Amino acid sequence: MSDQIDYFLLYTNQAAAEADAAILAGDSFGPYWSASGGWRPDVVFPGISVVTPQALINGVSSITGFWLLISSPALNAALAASPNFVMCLDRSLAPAGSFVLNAVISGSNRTSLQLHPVPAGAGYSQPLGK
Amino acid sequence: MAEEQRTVRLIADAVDNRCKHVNVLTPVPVPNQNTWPTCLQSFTAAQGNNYPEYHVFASGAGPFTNGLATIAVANFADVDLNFVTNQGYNQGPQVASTSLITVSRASQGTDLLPTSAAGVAYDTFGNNVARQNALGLLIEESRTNQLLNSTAPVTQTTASLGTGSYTLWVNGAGTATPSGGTATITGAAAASQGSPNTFTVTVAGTVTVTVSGALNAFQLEAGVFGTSLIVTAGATATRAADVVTLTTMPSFGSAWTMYVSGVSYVVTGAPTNPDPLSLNIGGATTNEATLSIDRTAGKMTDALTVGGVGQYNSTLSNTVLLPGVFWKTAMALAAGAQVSVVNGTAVTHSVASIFTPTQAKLGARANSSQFINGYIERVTLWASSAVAQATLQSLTSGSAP
Repeated sequence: MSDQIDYFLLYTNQAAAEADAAILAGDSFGPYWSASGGWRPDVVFPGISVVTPQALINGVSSITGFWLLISSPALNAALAASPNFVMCLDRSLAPAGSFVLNAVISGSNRTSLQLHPVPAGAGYSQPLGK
Repeated sequence: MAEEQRTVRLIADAVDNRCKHVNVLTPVPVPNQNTWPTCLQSFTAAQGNNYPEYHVFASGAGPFTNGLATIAVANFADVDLNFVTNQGYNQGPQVASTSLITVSRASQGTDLLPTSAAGVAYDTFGNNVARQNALGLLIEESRTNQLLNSTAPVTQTTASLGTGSYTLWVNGAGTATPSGGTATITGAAAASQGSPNTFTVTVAGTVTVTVSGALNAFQLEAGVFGTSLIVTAGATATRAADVVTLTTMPSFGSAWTMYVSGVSYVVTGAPTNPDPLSLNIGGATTNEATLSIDRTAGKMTDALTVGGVGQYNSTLSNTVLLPGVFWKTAMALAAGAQVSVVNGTAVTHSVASIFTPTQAKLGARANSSQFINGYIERVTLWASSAVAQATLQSLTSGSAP
């Protein structure tokens, strides 16, 4: 298993993301967001751009919604169980392997997905391809 | 402070008649036992009141038997992490300093800086790997390179950039010049080797970067100073921040001391970045002691917060340390008496109560903000003593880490 599992979540807006229980719970190093520190800059990539043909994901607009990428060194059940969860990718298996571990979007909505910026060193294809 | 008895292994150097620690320098065989008394006396006199370079090993009783001796050592630190040599210890035998810290950085990072020489070889570090080299431990905030194919620079137009300051820097024999595409920008000029260009986007939109000559790498990032190269291909990429903590905290007493040396590349007067912070001891923003550099004036400051109440926040000296000026700084704390020192200059305080630390964060604040954006060369902790002011002034003088 990779040392980096990238979780993609989509919220109505940033405030909704900041209020998510899974976000506030964070991991062993602390919450993913806090009032004093903001977003954790070591593992959270807030406000990334994700382009997909699927207009609504979990009832949230993929165009106007707030995208969040959280990178975890291990599987995070709380993030996967979030109603805002979109997909999680195993960075070590990208781009050719079966790096999509779980996703609520499928088919061409996912294979044609493009995202930027990517975490430096992440080998995700543009478009995603899987 | 009280002296501590430690057992160390000493080797007499027959060439220059000095004692050397076997794990610090190449050992030289002891010519005869008659040299030991002289060796031991000179070692104690020269090292006893200074920041020690030696470490503790399990050993038999001394003195003068098989290269082992028991000596009285003052100011023996509990933790010493030298990131230049990558030799350190935490209340035990010497190991790699990087093995004593925990690094969280969910991306790769390099050590090619805007100040790096043209064409210099650089290292790429994997996720969560300490960026340690001969300059120390590189710790930076998160940044995004807005340019594609950053190691094969060609003229290109960015995606839409928001308003604010951006820095364009290059490595190699050539230039890169920004101009407004759909964006309106001010302050644009050609960036060349060692001379970045910081410009301002006043109306959001695209920016065109025109390349001339042969460049090895280039980067365009939000901020008023450049950071290490973020390698990109077909998409923009973000380097996550380096969040670095001491993996195992020693048991702290009622008085303690911290020391840190390094350098920051933050630009003086940077209005949109918080003060670069060298070392934070505490565990939460409600109880923390920090040594940081005021980004406006570029001067080292100390700060103490106890129980959520700020106790002091003072400028330690008038020397401007931004960007790129090496510093050595320390803070000793005890109830009723504290002293902070930078490069030999001291400031004292008399706060009645301090706190017991639970975390040491290198190069950033407890809440992972205020990154040093530079190199940490050395970190030392004395967990149960407040080292004397005169000693700290001596330790923070000179050029060695």
